[in-house]
Amino acid sequence: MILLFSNPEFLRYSRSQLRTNKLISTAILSLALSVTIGFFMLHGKAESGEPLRAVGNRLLETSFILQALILGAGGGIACLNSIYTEKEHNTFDYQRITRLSSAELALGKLFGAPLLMYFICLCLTPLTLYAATVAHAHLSLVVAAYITLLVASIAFHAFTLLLSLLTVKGSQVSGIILALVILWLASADISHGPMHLHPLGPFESAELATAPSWELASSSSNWPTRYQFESSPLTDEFLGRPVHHFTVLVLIDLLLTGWFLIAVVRNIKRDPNQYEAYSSLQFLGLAVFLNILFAGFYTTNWATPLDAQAGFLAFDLIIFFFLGVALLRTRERVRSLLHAPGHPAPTLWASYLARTRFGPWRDACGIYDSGSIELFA
Amino acid sequence: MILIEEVTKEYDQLGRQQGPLIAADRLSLEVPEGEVFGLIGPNGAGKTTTLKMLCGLLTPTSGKIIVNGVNVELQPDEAQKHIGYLADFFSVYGNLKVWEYVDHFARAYKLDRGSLDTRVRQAIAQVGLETKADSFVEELSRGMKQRLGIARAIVHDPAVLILDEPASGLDPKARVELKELLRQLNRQGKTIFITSHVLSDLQEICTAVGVMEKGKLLKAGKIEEVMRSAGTARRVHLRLASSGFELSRWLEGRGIISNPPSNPLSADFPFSGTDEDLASLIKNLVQAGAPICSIEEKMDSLETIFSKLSSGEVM
Repeated sequence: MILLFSNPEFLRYSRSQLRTNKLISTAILSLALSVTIGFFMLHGKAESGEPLRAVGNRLLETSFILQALILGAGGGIACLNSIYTEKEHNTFDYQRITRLSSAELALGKLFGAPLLMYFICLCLTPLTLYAATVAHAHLSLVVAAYITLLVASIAFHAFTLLLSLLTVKGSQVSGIILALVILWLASADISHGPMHLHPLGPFESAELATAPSWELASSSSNWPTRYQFESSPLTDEFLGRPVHHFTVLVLIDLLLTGWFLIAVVRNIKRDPNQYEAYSSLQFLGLAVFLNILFAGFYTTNWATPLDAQAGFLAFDLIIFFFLGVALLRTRERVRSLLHAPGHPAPTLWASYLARTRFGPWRDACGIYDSGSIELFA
Repeated sequence: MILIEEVTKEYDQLGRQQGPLIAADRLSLEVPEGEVFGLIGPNGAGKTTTLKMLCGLLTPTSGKIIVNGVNVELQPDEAQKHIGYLADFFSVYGNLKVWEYVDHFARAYKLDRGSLDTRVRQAIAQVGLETKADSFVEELSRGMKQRLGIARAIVHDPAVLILDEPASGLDPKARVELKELLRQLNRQGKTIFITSHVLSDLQEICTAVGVMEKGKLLKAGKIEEVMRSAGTARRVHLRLASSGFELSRWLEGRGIISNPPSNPLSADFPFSGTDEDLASLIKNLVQAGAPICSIEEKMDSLETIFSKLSSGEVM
């Protein structure tokens, strides 16, 4: 494997995006943006009489949100455009027949396409450091926030790269909208619901940077009450135990990056008519991974074991449906799999099996009143 | 050399009741080393599909493709060392400089780091873009972009060049330059597999052709063989320097022409014999005292042959 900095694809992006003139103008604009934001927030403080430390905290939060927007959303769109645009301009075929391995090509695009966004974030770092100083923020938390920003953004970039690979001509806008919706969902706080898991998106870096300490909510005597869980932005609950959100986020986002990259690497040099996101084993592994997440972080007490079963089945039905759709991207592929004698598309039959096998059992148990189970009916 | 064995490419399409779309139908072909092979056929004949399968961009539904002894489907990385490909459109990175563009592909083909710069300079020089090496690609003319595309295709010094409509969109001057460049590359030993709509261009540079229609290869071989099999004979045009020799009577007497030509100093007739037969005819004419000042051999154009083959006139 060629090292990233000598990766030809990465080098191509750095040559085209990081030209001196472009860098200077970007740096000047970023500096102007930093000064403007800093000035207005500090000026506002003078008028409202708010303590300087609180203003610093808000400035720190703003700077991280801004960087998450630039690196997360901007970098995501750059990754989404990377393969799609090459397909549009017909340069992608030339990439596919070089001797670069699939992994080299994928990594070159993953880290190369959003290079300018990384540079803009770098230019905004002085604003962040200034805000952290004013807010008396913990240096370790600021560093953790940057790690969060980086890891969550890379996970999102890997997702958009996969989306870019699968996007067909004429559906670029739909792809961008879908990517932004996913980013929004990844930033939505679902910890108030049955999942005791805080957001996994890059915007979470702002929460981490402005947290008062690394302390977990578990230090409270009567853990795990819902109230305390929700009041601590740094505490998730895995299998009933409190875990630090930073650890959870980094671990899950790295694993998600891995899963997305597997699909990209598997397909990036393939004939588009032969795209298949995962092999059967990889697909099973992904389903197991998602089930572990669901089981680990879903901490509402089930009324009965049957409810728990129904919940898992409903969750798996959704997973298998979406992964099934992802597996069968092309119409040609759908048809050839459906028509293959003795090898019907397994995922397309998932709902059929659930209905025929699970339905009679459900009837025998007389559990018509379960909302989750009704999904199968 | 290129070996295509029973290659088929099918696309299974929803909504098509009459079965899969067959873009290539059991193609078999052998192109020896050093040949310039032209593939001709109408739009949708399957030429581009064939070329894309040749360089590993599309996977054949069945059959196998061997380039320089390497199976393209089974050993794609090894096969790419031997293949240079140019698509039928100007596909370049406009925001790179000319040398950066070629350098990118030199690195992507994993050329030796020590000789990388030299090879990049050589490839740029081979296509005559030395003076534009520091220009941005987007500033180049179409002809120059096409030459840059060829520089990209040859930067790793492949034995086989696969060119899809390289002359499309080029002005006459650029087309002439392109033809000369291809001849030069062929002289350097490269096997060239080319498609073009401009059949006269192909006729000028190709040593062999294949005629394709609806995914099928109708005929393939040396140009002369294909012409012969298409029932087209060469024509010979003779011209005398002065009168005094009964050219028409001499030719009529040997059954070469049936009607006397309008001009007594020249004759134009079809000739179906071999090169040796033609040499013998000329020798006899000279010995008979014909003051020959010009002998011209004319052949049917590829357009004529293609129209005969594709209309089913000759199969």
